[in-house]
Amino acid sequence: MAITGNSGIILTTVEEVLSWGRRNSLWPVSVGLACCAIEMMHTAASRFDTDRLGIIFRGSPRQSDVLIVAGTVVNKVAPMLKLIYEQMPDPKWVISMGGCASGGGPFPTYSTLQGVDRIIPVDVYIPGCPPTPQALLWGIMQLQKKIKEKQEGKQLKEIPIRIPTESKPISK
Amino acid sequence: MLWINLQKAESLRSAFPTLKIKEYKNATTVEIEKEKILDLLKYLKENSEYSFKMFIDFTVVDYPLHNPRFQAVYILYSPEYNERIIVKTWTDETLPSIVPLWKGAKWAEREAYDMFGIKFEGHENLVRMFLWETYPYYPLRKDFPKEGIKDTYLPSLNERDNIPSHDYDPYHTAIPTLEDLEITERKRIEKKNQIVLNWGPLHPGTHGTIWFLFDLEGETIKNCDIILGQLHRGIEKLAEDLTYTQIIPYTDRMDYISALCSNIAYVNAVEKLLGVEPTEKAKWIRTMMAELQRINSHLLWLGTTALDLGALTMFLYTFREREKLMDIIEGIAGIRLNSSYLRIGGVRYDLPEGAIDVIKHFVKDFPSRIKDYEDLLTKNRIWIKRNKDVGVVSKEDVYQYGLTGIMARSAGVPYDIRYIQPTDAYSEVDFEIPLGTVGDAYDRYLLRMEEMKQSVKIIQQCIKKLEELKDDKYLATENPYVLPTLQETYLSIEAMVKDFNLRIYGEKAPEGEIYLSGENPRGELGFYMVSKGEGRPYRLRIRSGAFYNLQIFPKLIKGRTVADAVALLGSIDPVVGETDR
Ligand code: SF4
Repeated sequence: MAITGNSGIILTTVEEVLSWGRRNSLWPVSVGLACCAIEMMHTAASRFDTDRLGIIFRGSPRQSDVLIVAGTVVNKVAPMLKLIYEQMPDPKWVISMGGCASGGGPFPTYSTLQGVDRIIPVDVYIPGCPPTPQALLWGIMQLQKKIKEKQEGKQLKEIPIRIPTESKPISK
Repeated sequence: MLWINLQKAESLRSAFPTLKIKEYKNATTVEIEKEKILDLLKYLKENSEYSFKMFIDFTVVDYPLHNPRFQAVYILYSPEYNERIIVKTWTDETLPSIVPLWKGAKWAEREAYDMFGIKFEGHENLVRMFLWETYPYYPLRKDFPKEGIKDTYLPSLNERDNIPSHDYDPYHTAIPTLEDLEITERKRIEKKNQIVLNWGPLHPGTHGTIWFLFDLEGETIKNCDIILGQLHRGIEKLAEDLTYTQIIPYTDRMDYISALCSNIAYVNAVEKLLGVEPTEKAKWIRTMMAELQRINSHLLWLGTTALDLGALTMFLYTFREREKLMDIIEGIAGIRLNSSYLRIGGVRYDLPEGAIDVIKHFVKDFPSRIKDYEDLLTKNRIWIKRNKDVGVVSKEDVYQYGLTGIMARSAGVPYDIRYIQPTDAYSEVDFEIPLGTVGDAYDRYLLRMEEMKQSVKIIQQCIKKLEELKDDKYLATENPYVLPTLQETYLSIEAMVKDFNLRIYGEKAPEGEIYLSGENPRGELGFYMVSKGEGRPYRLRIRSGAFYNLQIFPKLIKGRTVADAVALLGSIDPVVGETDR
């Protein structure tokens, strides 16, 4: 963005304005899965107050652009979570909050999905069990940075995203 | 002791000559063949000398080498004599359903079917409790691997080709398709009226991931069923592979809103099993922490329930207090939420300098906050209209469904583990147990408010005592089962060897079994453990209060509107981590 003198004129590109708007009004879906969701609620509530960053939790996936996967994704809930992700309008981002969502966490069991990135692509991983509200805010800021850099043409150490493939059983 | 004594159990033999009676240190069990089990349970329930009216838990233990293979375990409680009993029987694949005796067994039997594949004759709708209908395995059987059968190619979509993580496996256990879930749903409920409405699993109002099915006629709910398992993480299976100390963090993650209370219930059970006596100071610290956590948990309940009913202000107010409590817990335990503060034989850290002052300050300030909340809600017309006469539970319901905690007390049943089986310092503190008169959601609100005040009272007593005990030990490290502190490990070779042995081989618990419970904010959280003399439990069964409390939901909601479902669910206050485990 370029400001010319004191004349009150700002020169910019459409891309830039869009990106500026997007990163400053990230609206997450309020989906809570497990313990991490409590910390997500704390982030939204009194002390940390995400509203001041333009982050407002929405009840419907159709109004939101960020999915914060807060908690353990078990196999049974995975297809439904994917459905929610697919219902969100583009552009959309995913934050994986906590050990469970990022890689199974402390539950290497028969019923737990070992990382939500096996069903939906993830933009930011936040470590912790559970991550503190500060950590979640950090994660959100990372996402904002990512959105900004993308617009500027600089790819933030991009993790190559594969094309989602159907899950198929192996033939023995 | 809370167990039926041997004499009384012996006198059961007059009616059931084939009975086998066994008395452990912390449990009395009677065993009978499968054919007679229903008669025995009926006798125990209805005979006024025993009157084991209240259903506590039902579970199964798998012994692959034994013939017949599965042992069924029923835990009952007699409110009149204040006694518990464990009834056992053996089976290979089928058992008679005890739902006609106790309605509360319905879900427990579904769970046994889900986890072990045992069929129940006469069960009204035997479907899987946690996993989906087309899931082919029975995971809690001993021959099923804990990590499941990895038969599906499901790689990470973000995977970098050249940097594999150390235990990354592109093959994964099978995840269900949407069709599988639809089959699961269809099996639960049959559409008899206008529409079947799905509420949840990913809905902000369902307190996590509970999946409700309402068969609706207009606004009225004619029939209802609940699908659980959207947070079934397999903690019971995992526990069979971990040492007793390693299980402590998992108890945090079960009921994450009251992590410390779950810790305490579990550690107390293990200590009884091992015969460890925690130090005096640790007992008082535990009691204090449990009550802080109880306030914390009730505050979350208050905030979210009020939010569901439209009072956003309450949510912000209670979370302000919660932040203070979280700070206190973080200061003492090091972690805000899932603190894993307890250790076998005591607690992880001593109280840090100044902790008592902060808590003192909090309890001084807190009663005025409660007053604020009460001013806002108790006489609020909307609040009363939404809550009064919603979900009325009776005393009979409490016994039938095994309701515990606030649910039981709102119906006027004085069932509080802190009182009937005091652990830690509860026998020495002075507090009251508020009881409800009507048993509706409004009663439960009043009870929770009153309980917070009682918790403040207990904390004050704990503070006083802890100030006297300032220089005592917080961990009974002289006991062979207790991990040494970090300093000791660094300074002495014996402590280091002990630490190594306990961490690698686990606490070798004597053979036996135990059922012990604690009063969680959500009801009775019980741990039934079977030890075979190894460093790991042979079977750990978690009796979750929220699981049994939630079970009465379909009955209470019938004939009411969808709007009441929100208020009712709020007043039951389940936590999915605990119901699903
Ligand atoms: S990462 Fe930890 S805190 Fe978060 S959901 Fe998993 S177990 Fe709970």
